[in-house]
Amino acid sequence: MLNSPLGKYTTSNSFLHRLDPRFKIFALIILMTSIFLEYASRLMDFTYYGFMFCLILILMKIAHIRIKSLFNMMKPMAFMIVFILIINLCVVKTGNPINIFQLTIYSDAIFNTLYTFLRLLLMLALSLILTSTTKPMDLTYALEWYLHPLKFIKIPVHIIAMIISLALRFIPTLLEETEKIMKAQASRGVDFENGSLKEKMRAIISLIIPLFFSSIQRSLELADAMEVRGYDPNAKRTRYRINRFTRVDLIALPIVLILFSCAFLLMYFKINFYL
Amino acid sequence: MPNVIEVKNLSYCYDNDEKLILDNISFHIQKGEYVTFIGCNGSGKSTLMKILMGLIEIKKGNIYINNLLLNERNLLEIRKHIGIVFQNPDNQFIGATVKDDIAFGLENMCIKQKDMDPLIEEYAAKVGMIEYLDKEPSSLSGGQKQRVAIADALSMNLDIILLDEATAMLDPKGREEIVSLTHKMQKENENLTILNVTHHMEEAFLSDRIIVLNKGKIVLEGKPKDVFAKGDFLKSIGLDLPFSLKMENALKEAGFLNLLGEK
Amino acid sequence: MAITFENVYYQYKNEDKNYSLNDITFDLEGHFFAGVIGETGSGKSTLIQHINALLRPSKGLVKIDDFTVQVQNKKKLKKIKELRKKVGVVFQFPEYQLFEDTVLKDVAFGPKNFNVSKEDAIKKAKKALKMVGIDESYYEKSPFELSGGERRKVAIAGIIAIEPEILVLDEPCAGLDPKSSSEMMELFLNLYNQGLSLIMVSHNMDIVLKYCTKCLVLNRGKLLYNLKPTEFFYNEMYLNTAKINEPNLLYYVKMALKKNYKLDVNNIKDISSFILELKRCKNA
Repeated sequence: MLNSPLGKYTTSNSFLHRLDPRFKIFALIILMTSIFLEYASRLMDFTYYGFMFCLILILMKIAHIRIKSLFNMMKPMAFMIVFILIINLCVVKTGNPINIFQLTIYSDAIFNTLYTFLRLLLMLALSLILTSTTKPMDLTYALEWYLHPLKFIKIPVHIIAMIISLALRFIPTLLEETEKIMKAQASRGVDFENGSLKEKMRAIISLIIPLFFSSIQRSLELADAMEVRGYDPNAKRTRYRINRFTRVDLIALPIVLILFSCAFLLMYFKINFYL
Repeated sequence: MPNVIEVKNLSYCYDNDEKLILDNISFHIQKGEYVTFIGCNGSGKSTLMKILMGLIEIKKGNIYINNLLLNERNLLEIRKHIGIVFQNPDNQFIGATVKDDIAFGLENMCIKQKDMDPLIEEYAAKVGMIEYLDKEPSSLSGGQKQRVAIADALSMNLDIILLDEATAMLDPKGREEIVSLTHKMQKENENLTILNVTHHMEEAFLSDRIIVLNKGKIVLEGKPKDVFAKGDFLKSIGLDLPFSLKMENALKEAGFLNLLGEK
Repeated sequence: MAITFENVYYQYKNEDKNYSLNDITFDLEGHFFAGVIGETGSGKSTLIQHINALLRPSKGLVKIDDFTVQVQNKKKLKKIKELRKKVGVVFQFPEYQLFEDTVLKDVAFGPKNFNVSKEDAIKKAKKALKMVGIDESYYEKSPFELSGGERRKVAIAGIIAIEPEILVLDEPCAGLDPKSSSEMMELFLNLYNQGLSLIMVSHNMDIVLKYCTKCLVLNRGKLLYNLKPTEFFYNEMYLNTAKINEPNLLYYVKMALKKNYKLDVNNIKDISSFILELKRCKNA
């Protein structure tokens, strides 16, 4: 039903599933940063990427995420990669020139594309791990925690978090509704796939207006339901879902920190293979 | 038995409309009663329920709930006693899972987090949803969602529960589940008062008392037997009799009294 | 008019391996008012969506007169439109499909989509609205200011105005008060008597027994029976196998049989026909 571009939560009780979502967001940011650091040489860069990739594969194995889902995520990127390659080939004129037929290609163009591709791959893989092992609702709560400081400048973070969690709750309901209305209008002779621009506009209007109307209806009823159950956005309320920093996090935190420190030191002291 | 709800001379109309939705209504409900409101579409039943919940402001008439006058100042106190289950099972499911949905009301009541799980389990068990605690609404049937909505209401320690056509969107199995559950709850807790709004005459037949609304007025009130004795009148205002009574009447009229022995 | 299902299987995408429809084969011929019954999740809605090709079978084929709907083949869409003109489907809670700014325009929307001229579409819309009992004072109102029951009638008029040969209804009386329900059923009976064939999904067994000429009984995606309602409902074994609640009427019929009334159950469809049959037995 719901195919988010960043992957879908997979039910399991792996080590990664049990980690505190706040920690997972922190680790994601740290590891992504390490990917974008510039190491002493190209060889070092690619070695680090290779190391990260192996780590990601191990994590995916632990979290029971299928490699296939990573491929599925990369598919839409294929076009982008080809596009970047062509741009690079045209623009970059440094590095070793290679002659293929009548064309002169510079090695840097290929390496630049390869960099982009690998960084993108690693980034997507890391976020796939996060979204596959964390429920959207828990992610919301974790984000709310990070946004907590904004409360001091009077931004109602808790209300924003409530809105996001309600939106997440109602996405499947609204998708179902959309499908239902499309079918009802198709039965009245609306064609959602073919037709002139004018016909298409009509088709879309016949979907949007009922959907809009029923969404408003829904939100009014939802507001009533929340009100009668004592919800007051400005009142104090307790929390059922609490992020807990547990022993697993305590083990994982130093690992991530050491990993990042190593990466940072590698970059800072320009450590290379020739040392 | 003391009155838990007293309505005196209540009238209501929409702002820009002259037609009265509710026209000078007075009634009272006793503690522990199961009262059903019937009336055809547009008779004002649902509006009445929303008014009792304080979701619609009234201009004429007085409403007392547990001897408190329903007004803006008393609203929060009153809502600690009265809750409602609406018609559409989807639009009142707030949490991501059954657990979270029951927790939503507890959070609003500022219950400590460590006390929540036992409470959630207790109320989920009362409505027979203990095995579904981690399920998402999309994987539940309409009847199951309404059972969760009832657990929500119970978890808030209410003594009056309004069912606003809570069974209208359910299949017969779901309806049966909800009807028998609400009756069971009322039997187990003698302080629990239930007000039910329905189109199902069979459902109304099971209640302690029936109040019939037509065009915003109370036109008939009494025990189910007495109300349904006035079949012709009910038909004239768009209602009907439960099947069993229709059959009994037909058999009596045709002289087949011997078929009415049992039941 | 003929509907044929030949070994139809249907499986929703990204769901487990269970078939929503599992080897469905049946024929409906001539002039019929068919009831589709079964528990929630037995495949009733999936089945009716095959009749106007909103869903296409995963395996097998569906024939409606000379139209054939097969496995996902990209058939010319013009033909699908012809099929949808022939088969009108009213979904559950159809009041949510209204969108035009007036009632009359909304009802005329369907016929216009099927290439009927504007004037004719309005004519057909007026005729359909009259049939469902919405009078002229409503024509220029916005559908959104009507009550739920009225909106339902307008939505049904929107399908009737297309003038289909088969009308498919999914729980048309759900949530209506008793009077509106019986008006609705009288309307469908009327349409049937005018020569339309109907297929109706219902949970109300008394209604199916009273109005339908055929009933298709589904259980977990399988078609268990395709019989006359009286043949199905008066057979205890069938009812148990299909896990169908018996109609209220049945309790009294059984009691009469116990008291040695020699009833011909084939004649008993509702209270009045039951009384007639009792009288006949008494006089015999």
